[in-house]
Order: sequence, then C-alpha cells, then structure tokens
Amino acid sequence: MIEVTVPLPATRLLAEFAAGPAEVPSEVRETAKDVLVNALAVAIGASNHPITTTALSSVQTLENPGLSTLLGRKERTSPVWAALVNGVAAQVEDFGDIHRALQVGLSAALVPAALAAAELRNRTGAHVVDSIAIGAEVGLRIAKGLGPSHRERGWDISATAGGIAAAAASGRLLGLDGRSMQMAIALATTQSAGLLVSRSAMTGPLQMGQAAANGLEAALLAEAGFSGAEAAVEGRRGLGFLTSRDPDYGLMVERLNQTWEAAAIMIKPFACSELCHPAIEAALALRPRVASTLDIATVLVVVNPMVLEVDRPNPRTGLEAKLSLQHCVAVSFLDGSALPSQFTDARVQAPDAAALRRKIDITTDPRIDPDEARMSVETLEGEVPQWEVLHGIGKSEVRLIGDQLYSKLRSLAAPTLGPRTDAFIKSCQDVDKASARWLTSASTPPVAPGR
Amino acid sequence: MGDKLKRLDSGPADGTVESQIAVMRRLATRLTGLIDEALPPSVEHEAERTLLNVLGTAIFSSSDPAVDQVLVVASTNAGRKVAPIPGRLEGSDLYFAAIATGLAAHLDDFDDTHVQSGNVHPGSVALAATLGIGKIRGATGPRFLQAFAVTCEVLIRTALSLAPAHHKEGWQPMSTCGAIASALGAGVLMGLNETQLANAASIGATRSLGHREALGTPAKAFHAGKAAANGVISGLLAERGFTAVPTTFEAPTGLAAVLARESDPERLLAGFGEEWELMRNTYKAYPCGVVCHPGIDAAIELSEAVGDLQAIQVLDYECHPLVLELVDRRDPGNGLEARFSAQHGVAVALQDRRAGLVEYSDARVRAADVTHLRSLIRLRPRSDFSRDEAALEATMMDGTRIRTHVPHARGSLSCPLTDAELYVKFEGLAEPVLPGASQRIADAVMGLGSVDGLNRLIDAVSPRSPE
Repeated sequence: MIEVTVPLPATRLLAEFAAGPAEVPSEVRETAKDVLVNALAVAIGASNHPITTTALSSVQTLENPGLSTLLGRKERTSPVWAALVNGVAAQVEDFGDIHRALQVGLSAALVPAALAAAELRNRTGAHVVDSIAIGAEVGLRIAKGLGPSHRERGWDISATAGGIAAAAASGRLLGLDGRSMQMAIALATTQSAGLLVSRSAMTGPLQMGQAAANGLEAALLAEAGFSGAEAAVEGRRGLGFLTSRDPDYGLMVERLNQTWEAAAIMIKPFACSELCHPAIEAALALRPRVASTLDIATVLVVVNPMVLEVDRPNPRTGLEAKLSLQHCVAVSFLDGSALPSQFTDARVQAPDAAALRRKIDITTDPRIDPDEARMSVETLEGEVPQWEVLHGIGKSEVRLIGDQLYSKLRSLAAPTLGPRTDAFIKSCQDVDKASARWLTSASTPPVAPGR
Repeated sequence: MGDKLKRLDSGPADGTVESQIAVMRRLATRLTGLIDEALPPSVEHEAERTLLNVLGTAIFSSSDPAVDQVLVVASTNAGRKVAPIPGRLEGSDLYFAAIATGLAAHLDDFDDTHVQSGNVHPGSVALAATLGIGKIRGATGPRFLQAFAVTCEVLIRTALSLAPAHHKEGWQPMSTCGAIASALGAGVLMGLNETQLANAASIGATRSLGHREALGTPAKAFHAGKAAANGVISGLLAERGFTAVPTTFEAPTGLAAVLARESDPERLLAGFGEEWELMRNTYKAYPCGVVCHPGIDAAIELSEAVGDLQAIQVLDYECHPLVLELVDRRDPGNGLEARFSAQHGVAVALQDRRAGLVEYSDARVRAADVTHLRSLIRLRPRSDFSRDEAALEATMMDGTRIRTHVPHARGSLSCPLTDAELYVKFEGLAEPVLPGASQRIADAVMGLGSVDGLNRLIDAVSPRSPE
C-alpha cells in the first residue's frame, strides 16, 4: 500500500488570494491604515539616522533615476532602492508593529515596497491600504505555517516572511493576475533571507530593507514575464521544508479571505524588541511605587525562556539595547518611557543606565507566556512590591488608538518635517481619499527657501 | 553542535561569542595577504579556462527573453549604464548588469561545476560580480583575474564548509554562498581594507538566496546573477562604513547553522591561498546537469554499436543514485526542463550522437523520435558507481543485449576538457552572437597579464555597433 500525501498548493492559493477580489473587512482595513501611517512616521523619524544615510549613500553611487520618494528626505531614487532605504529607516527604531502571537513585524518590508509600487503607477491611497492588508495577511500566513522552529533555527521571520509580503502587496498594486502573482511570490520566496543574529548590528534594519527591495523587484520581474518555481513555498526543495521542521501549509491557506491574521497586528508602543514589552509595562507600573531609582537593590523579572533571546546585560549601542531586556527595564524605571530617545548610543552608555542594568535579575519560567512578565523590586528598605503583566502587548488598554497613535506620529515626524507636520498628519488621516503620490509628497521635508 | 546561543552580543567586550577571531575576519586577513602576490601559474591558467568558458555561456544567452525581462525592470530602476553585459550592445548599472550577466551565464546550465562542493558553478557568479566593478574602478588585467579567481575560490570553499548536507537538503550553494564570495571579490576591486572586507562578507551573509525548487525555471540562473549583485551591493555598503556582526557566518544560529544541519566553518579557511579548490573546477561538455553527462557519453558510444534504434526494446541506464534524486524526468516539457532530465540526455544522444544546444531546444525535446526513446529507459541506481560513471544496456527486440560502460565522463575531473576542446566549445557558443570574435576574445583572456587587459577584454566581448 503506497500512501501519497500531496502538499496543498500553498504558493498558488496564496497568489490567487493576493491577486483576487479580496474584500478586506473594515476592522482589518483600519489596522492596515495604522500600519501604513505608523511605518511612514517611524521612517521619517529615522530618515537622518546614520544607518539610513549610509545605506542611501551606498546605493546613490549607482546614480539612479529619481522616480521614488525617500521618506523624510529631499533626495529621490529609483523604486527598488527607495524600498530598500525606506525599509532600513522604518526598522532602525524597531518601533513599527507586531503580530503578538506570531512575533512578526512586517511593516518595514511591506510598507516601503507597496509605497514605491503605488508611486510608480500612481495608485490611490485606498488601493495602498488594501494591498498592505493583503500583503500582511500573506506574510503572516507564511509565518504561521512555518511555525516556531523557523525562528528557533535562527531565521529572522520578519525579514524572511517580509519579502514575500512585500511581493504580494506590490504585485497587487502593479495589477498582476493570479499566475504572475504566483511567480512574484515564487521569486521572493527563493530569496527569503535574514538572520536573528544579525539584528543587533546595522544589518538588522538592512535585512528588512533588503526584503522590501527583493519583494518589489520580484513583482516587477514577474510583471515583465520572468518565472520561478510553481511550488516555491511547499515544494520538496522549497521554503517550508528548507527552513522549518514542521511546515503546516494548511495554516497558510485555510479560510483565507474569511479569517484575518492581519486583524491581530498591534502598533508598537515601545521602540524595542517586542520580547521586552511586557517587562517594560511592569516596570512602568511599578515605577510610581519606588521613591527613587537609587533605592533599587534588585529588580527580579520572570519571563518565558524564549525571552532569553534578549538577555543582554551589556549593550554597547542603541541597536543592541533594543534587544536588551536589562536596558529596557532600566530606562523604564529611570526615564519612565521606552521611546527612541531611550535607545540612543549616548543613553545606552550613560552611567545611570549601566548601573541599573546590573541590578536586573532575569529568571525564566516556562509557565509564563512570551508576552507575559512578572516583576518584583527589592529596595534598600526591603519593600517588595510585585507586578504581573499578563498578555502585555495584546491588551487593549495598551493598544495605541486614535489620538495616542497620532501623537506618536506627530512626535516622530515633527523634527524632520517641521512646518509640514500638520500636512503629513492630515494626509495620514485622509489616506483613503488621497493618492499615493500625495501621501509620499507629504512625507518629505519642506524645500529650502530660495528654491 | 555548539551550545544554544544565549547572548547575541557580538564583540569581544562580552567575551561570549568571540573566543577566537571571527571566520570572515580571518578570511579577510588571508585575502589581503594573498592579493599582494601574483597567482601561481597553474591557478592563473585554470582561472583563464574558467573565465573563457563562462564568457561563452554568458555571450550565448545574452539576448534570451529572460535577460530582456531583467532589463525591463532595469529600465525604471537602473542608474547610469556604466557596466557591460557580455554579448550585448548596451550594458546597465553595476547592480542590474551583474544580475543580467550571471543570469545569462548560467541560463543554459552549460557553464562549469565544482562537484565536491555540491555542484557549485563558480564562473557565472564570479564573472557577474567582478566584470562591472572591475571596469568602473579601473582594474588592471592581473588584478581583475585575481579577483575573479578569488571569488571562485571563496564561493567553492564556503560551499565546501556546508557540504554535503546543505546541497542535499535542497539549497543551491552557488547562490546561498555567492553573495559572500562576490562581496569579497568586488571588495578586492574596490580596494577595501581588511575591516571593510570582513564587513562586506558578513553583510553578504545576511542576503543568501536560492532554493533548488527553482530547478527547471529561469529563477535558478537568476540566483547566480542576484547573488553576485547582492555581493556588489554588500561591498558598496562596507565601503561607506556599514558594519555587521563579525560572526554572522559561524555563530551557533548564524548562516552556516540555518543552511546546513552539519557544517564545518573552518573548512573554508583550511589551506586558503595555498591549496586552490579552483583547480578542481570542471567545464561542462554538455548543456545539462552534470550528473547526466556520463549517460550521454555512454549513449553516443552505444548508438554506433546498436545501429538500428527502432529495434531497441528497452534501455537499462545504470547510474549513481543521485541521478534519480536530481534528474529523473521522463517527460520534460521544454528545453529548460530537459536540462534536468537524465532520460532526455541519453535519448537525444542515442538519436543524434551529440548533445549540444540544438539537442536541448524545445523542438528537439518534443520530437517524437526522442520522446519514444525516453520512454524505453529504466533508471538503475548503482551505489558502487561514482558520479561521473554510467553504463547503458540496450535489449533489442530479438533479445540481443548490447552494453557500454563509461568510467569517467568527458569534462569530469578525471577526464577534463583540453584547452583545445574548451576553445571549440567556446567558439560554438560565441560565434552565433559575436561572429568572428572568438579568437580575439580568447586572446584577450590569455592576455589579461597586461595592465589594460580588462579594457581589451570588455571591448572584445562587446558587439561592434552597426555603423
């Protein structure tokens, strides 16, 4: 008796969903809109960061035609490189969004690719929002089907799934049919790359920018007629078998268009790895009960063993500090926040932060989920207040909504956009009525006087 | 296996990961020492053979629709067209010229193969990574040939450090390791210092690509070009000060670990610069997967002995087990798929007594005589056979059996193409695109010892614009 199990044609089914007449539910559209405008603001905020400018100056040596907007900057470049540089900028602060259960944040790959495709073909803002929702769904389904073993092996799932999400979103904006979309997804899939180990250096943001560029390029190649493997995702030598111990293609394709993983995306309230967020919340809650941080003898944090990925007592740079639970807890007590200014190299190297980091004691408990934390503080007086954060990031009370989101956008964009910040906020609020080009134009700083 | 990486701090400050100097750093150090010296004459000669061979395949496919499709994307994305694409009148920018060149060079699967590393095709990646940047940065002939040789060598060695698990699992080592090698090759031509070279290689390690699922589609050849282009961009980033985690390659959850269940990063460095793996490169005698080659040799031999092919009842094809794993395709739909069909190679060689590009055209693949012969073939795996070994036995209608055995395929390491045979192959590839230019190109490859050797070579592989 021979049993033959044929894997579901995941590549084709995902492509048909991405190219097809999907009706995005309104709550998913709202989430996609938040993902879009948040990523724009985060990228504008990091548009002068040395990592962004180094990436930009490298690709500028190619002397590309200026068809596409660089967020927060006056220069322009070509679509593929705009996707890369904007992707780098959107990831530098690790302040985008997160799907809590899957631990995936796609926006730095997804949004820049979609934006460049939309700008190139003069699409509407509403089209961009739909495409981001659908691209996100494709990327999240890929991540869900690959499962935790993908990450455990060392892959940066946000980058590996991000390139595929970017291809789906940009392919939709280019108007690819199902067959071409399948090829776009195939070409992006065979280029899935990015490592967790690289996230603590300049290569972390670069991986997301590269995913954005690869995704857009894959869609453009497919549009031109280039082809790849029909079963790129589920084939015997495809993504699933190569990068996961137990790929589940059913999770990738079942109930597409009916249930939406994208509905569970959260906008990040803190500018660091999502693994640090529950402990930050606990620290912010305990902070008012500690008279002075100088009184702190020990902070005991209990987390899931997976959170050891961010057990990093001596970060040296802002990028490393975003992956340091000790630093995140320390600045939460010291500064009462965990925003980009808590992760500058100077803040990381400051003596008070270094001193408090040494007092953070991490233990693990597998009964605590990765999005939970338990914290107690021992002060010199011996008081021991306790705080427990359950389902930290997912809780609706910490979700950035409405005004909170827009104040985040404003604070990120204002230093770069200056007097044009109001126009930017308006274009974000009216994204459904806008054209993509209006949106990108509102994301650039004022032209210097005299020009 | 090493301990599960607990802390990701990369530098020596924490002392957690770098108990010794990172592999890419040591590679950069060895490389900077190496490029101060001339290549040993035998290595130089093998590099020239690799280069001539791959220029032939790149030129032959330079106007393939797949290359045109890449250049459509380039039309809205590429910058100044300063980099050449061999065989084409117009080049592109550094990035897109690298993609187009690598794609064309590997498209017909007729380039070269380093078998032990998991069938790496070093020439396509190395040509794409070095030609454009060599021209733009004004490389001398010897420096260009050195960078080309080094790209091949690093690529082969990186793949060897992951072999055999990596290729077997389903990756294409040519491209997964290609960006690292290309970053270093391009970096040498940019004049990067040791620190920059190490960073370029580690940046390249974050942009691996290439699943073997793409076999039989143009994406497989795209892998070669894109790996080279990724390497060039990695070099440009490192030149501007971009940095990477030094242990990106060998960290317990680094590139080597995600790409292969078993790997030996030290294998990359052992004997680097003293013992050249490039010397074990082989040049394909036939435009198809290298495991098909001994079967084709056997079929050409058998064809004469059999005479009347109509009288064959069944064909037993004894082969290395890898043939079943990689190229068992009884009914290829087109020329590209036929390149990974052991059955097609044998059938067409029986019928036509040769297996050149014509024999892998879509028309020939679909022809009735060849389709019939393919249907008679039974693959017989022989675990005692080496990869370049095959035997064919024809059972005739009257019960007569005729058998032929090929211990080493033409073009294999044990039976390499001579310089004269290689030139004949090159001429067959270059003539249709650049009529009358073959000797000039071959002379330019052999003349890379002169300072302006690279300019002469680029001139020779460019079509004369119609006056």
